[in-house]
Amino acid sequence: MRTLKYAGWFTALAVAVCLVAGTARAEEKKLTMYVAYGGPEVIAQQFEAATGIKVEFLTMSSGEVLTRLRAEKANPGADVWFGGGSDAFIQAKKEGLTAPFKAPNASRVDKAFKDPDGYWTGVSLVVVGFLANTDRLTGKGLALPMTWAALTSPDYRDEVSASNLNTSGTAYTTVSGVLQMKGEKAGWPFLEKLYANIPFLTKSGSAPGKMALSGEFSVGIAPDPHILAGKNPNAPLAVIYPSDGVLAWPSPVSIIAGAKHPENAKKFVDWCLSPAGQKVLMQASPRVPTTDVEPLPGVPKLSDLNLVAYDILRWGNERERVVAEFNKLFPKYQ
Amino acid sequence: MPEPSAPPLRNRGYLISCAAFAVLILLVGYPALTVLLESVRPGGEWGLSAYARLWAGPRLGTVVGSSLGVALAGSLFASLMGGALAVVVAKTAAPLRKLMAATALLPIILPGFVTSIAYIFLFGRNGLITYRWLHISWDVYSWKSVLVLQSVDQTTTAFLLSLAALRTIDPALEEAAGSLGAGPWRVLRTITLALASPLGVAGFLLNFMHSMSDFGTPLVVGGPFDTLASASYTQLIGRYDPATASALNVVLLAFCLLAYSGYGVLESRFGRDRVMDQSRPVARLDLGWPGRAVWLGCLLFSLFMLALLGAVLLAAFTRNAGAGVAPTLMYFEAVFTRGFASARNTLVFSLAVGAVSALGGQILAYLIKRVRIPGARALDVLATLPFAVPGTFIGVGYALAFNRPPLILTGTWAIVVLNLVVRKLPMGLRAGASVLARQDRAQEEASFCLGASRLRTFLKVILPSVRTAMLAGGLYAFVTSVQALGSIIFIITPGTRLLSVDVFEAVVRGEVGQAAAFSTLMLAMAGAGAALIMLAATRNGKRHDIR
Repeated sequence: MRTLKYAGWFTALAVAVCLVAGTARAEEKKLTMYVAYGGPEVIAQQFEAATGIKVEFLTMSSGEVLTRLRAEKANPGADVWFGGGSDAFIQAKKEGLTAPFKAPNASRVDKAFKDPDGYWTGVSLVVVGFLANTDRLTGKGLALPMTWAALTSPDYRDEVSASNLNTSGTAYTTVSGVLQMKGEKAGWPFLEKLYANIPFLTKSGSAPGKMALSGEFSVGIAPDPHILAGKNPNAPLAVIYPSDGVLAWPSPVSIIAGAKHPENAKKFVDWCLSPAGQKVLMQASPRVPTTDVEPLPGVPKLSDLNLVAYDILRWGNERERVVAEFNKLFPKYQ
Repeated sequence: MPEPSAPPLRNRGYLISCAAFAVLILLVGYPALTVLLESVRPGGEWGLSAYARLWAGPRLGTVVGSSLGVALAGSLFASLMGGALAVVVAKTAAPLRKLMAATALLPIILPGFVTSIAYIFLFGRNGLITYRWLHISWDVYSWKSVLVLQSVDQTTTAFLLSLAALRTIDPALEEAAGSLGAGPWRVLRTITLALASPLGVAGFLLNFMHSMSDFGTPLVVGGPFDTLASASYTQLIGRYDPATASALNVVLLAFCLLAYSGYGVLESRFGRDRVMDQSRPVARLDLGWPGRAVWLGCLLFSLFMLALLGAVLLAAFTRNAGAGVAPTLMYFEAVFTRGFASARNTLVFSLAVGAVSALGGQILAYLIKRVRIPGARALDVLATLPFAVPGTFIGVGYALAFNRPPLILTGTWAIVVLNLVVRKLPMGLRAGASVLARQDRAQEEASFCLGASRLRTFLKVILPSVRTAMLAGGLYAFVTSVQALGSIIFIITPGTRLLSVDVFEAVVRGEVGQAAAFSTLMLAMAGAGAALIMLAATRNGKRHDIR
C-alpha cells in the first residue's frame, strides 16, 4: 500500500515537472499586449497563424494603459501597447515608458502618422464622428445634428453622450480638436455649450456609441461611428461626420520599455504595418488604414471628409494643461 | 478553561508564530503600509499635499457625504428588508417562503456589477420597463440607482444574520410570553426582535463597510455621482494619481475600521454560548394584516430579484439589448473565444483560493485557539484585518507594494491568488475557529495520551472531523473569489485575466450583451459552487441527525 502511495506522489510530481517544463518552453513563443483596439481576438489569432507566436492581451482604455505602464515601470506586465490615442503615446515617450523601433514596414506610413524617432507608429486612423439613434431623435422631435455647432444647441440637452478625457483618447481629441478648430479663446466657450448637453461622461471612448445604439442617448460622440453602424445594419442609426470639421488621430503601436519578449514585439509591430497585417487589422476593425492598402467598403475615404489639420505633437505635449483646464471648467465631471 | 495536556511546544511554538507573523506581515501589513506611505509621501517627498488636495476643493466633503449617505441609507434599507424576509421565512407559515429565501440569497452568486447591467437593461434611459413599456424617462444614472442596487445586494447579509439571530432565540421564551397573554406582534417585538437586534445592528455595520468599499456600482450606474471608492478608482486608473487615490483610500479605511470595531464589539457581546433547544418546533406566527403587508413587500423584493436575474439572461441572448429583440448566440461565441482564458483562470484561481484559504484558515484557527502560540491575539487581529479593509485599498496596496524591489510579483498568477487568499482568510479563520469551539476536546486529549504529536493529532483527529465544514468554507471562498473585483482589478495582466474584470470592462465599454454573456458563465460557476455548499450543508445536517 505504502509503495503504491509513493508511486502516486512520484507520478504527480513527474507530471507537474513536465507541465512546468512545457510552459517554460512555450514562453519563447509568447507576446503580451495591452490593447485599446477593436477585434483583438482576430488580430491575435491571425498573428499567431502567421508567426506561431501566441498572443495574450488585456483590453483597456489608453488612459488606463498609461497608468499601468507608470505603475509597472520596474516590471512591465506586457510587451506591446496596441491602439488608443496618440496623445497618450506621446506622453509615454516623454516619460521613457516605450522603446524606439523603426520597423522596415514603417516606411510605408506617412510621416504625419508616426513618431520621428520610432517610439510609436500609427497603424490606422480613428475618425471622430456622431452616431445618432434616429428612433430616439424622432421620439424627442429632434433633427439630425450635422455639425459641431448644431450639437451645441440647447435642444440636445441631456441627449448627448461623450467619454471622459481623463480616461479616453476620443474625448481628448474632441476637446483639443475643437480648440484647434476654433482657437483657445473661442474654443472653451464653445466647449461649455457642447458639454452643457452631456449629463455625464463615460469612462471608455467606445461607450457613447453603444449608448446611442441601445437608444439610451440620441447622439454619441464616437470614434469611427461607421463601425457600430456597419455591425448593426438593422438598427435605426445615422453616421455623421460633422461638415464643419472632422477630427482624426492615428492609432499607434509601441513596444513597451523593458518588454520581456522584445523580439516577438518587433515582429508584431512590423507585421501590423505589412500589407498582410494591415488587411487583418481592417478585418478586425474597419478603419481608415495608414498605409496604401485599399480601405474596406463602408469606411469613409479621407478625401470625402473635411479633416481638421490637427497638430498631434502639439496637443500631445499640452495634454496635462488642457486636461487641468477642462477639469477646472467642468468640475461636475470629476 | 483547563489547558489540554498537550505535549510542550515552547520553542517550536515561537518558530511557528514567527513564521505566521512573517507571512501575514508581508501579505497584509506591507501592502497596507505602502498605501499609507504613498499618501504621505507623494512623489518621494514627505508631506500632506495629497490630503491637502482633498481638502482644497469641495471634493472631499461631497464625496464623503455621498459615500456616507448612500451607505447608511442602503444598509438601513437592507437591514429592514433582510429582517422582514427572515421573520417571514423563519417565523410564519406564509406561502412562497422557500422562493423568498432563495431570491434573498441570489446576490451571493449575482454580484453588484452584474445586477447593474440588468438594472440598466430594465430601468435605463431606454429601459424595457421604464422607457418602452411605461414611456417614462427617469434619470437612471444617479445616486438613486446606486442606493437601490446596493440595498438589494446587501439584503443577503442582513437576511442571513437575522436568520441566524432568530434561530438562536429559544422558542421557550416566546412561548412563555405567548402564554402570559401577549399577542404574536407583541411577542415578536418585545422578545424576538429585541433579542435579535444586536446581531441586526452588527449586520448593518457589516453592510455599511461593504457599501463604502463598493466602487463598481457608482461607476456603472452612478453617472456623475461619486463615492470615496469610485473616486479613488478614477484617480488611480484615469488620472494616475496614486497619492490622491491612496489618500482617498486611507479616509475610506478609517470609516471601515470604525464600523468594524463596532461590529466586533456587538458580535462578541451577542451570546454565542447561548444554546437553544433544537428539537422544539419553531412557532409559526399568524401576524394578521400588518404581517400580510410585510409579506407583500417581501414578495415584491423577490420578484425584483427574479426580474434582475431574468434580465441578465435575456440580455445575454438578445442582440443589442435595446435596438430590437432579436435572439442571438453571438455573445456566447465570443465567450468561448475571448473569454476562454479568463474562464479558465477564474476557475483555477478560485479553486486554489478556496483550498488554500480553507486549509490555511483551519491551521491558523488551530494555532491561535488551541495551541495558543505566542502572540496568538495579535495574529488573530492581523489575519482578520483584511475583512475590514476595502478591496480597492488592498488592491492598490498590492499594485504598489509588489512591483518594486524587494519583491516583484506584478504579472504573475501568484500575486492574484495571494491577494484573494488574504481577502478570504478571515472567513476561513472564523469558520475554523467556530468549528473548533464546538468540538469536543476528548478525542484530542485521547490522541495526546496515546503519544501522538501535535502535528499528528491535527492531521489525524482535527482535520477529518472538520472536513465538511472546511469544504463548505472553501466553497464559499471559491464562490466569492469568482466574482471578486475591487482587490484584483489593479493587479491582473494579460496572462492572468479574470471573468469578473472582463465583465466589468465590458459594462464600462457599454457592451451590455457581452457583459451579460460573461456574467452568465460566472453565474454558472458561482452557482455550481453554491449548490455544492447546500449539498455539503444538508449532508452535514443529516450526519448530525443520525448522531
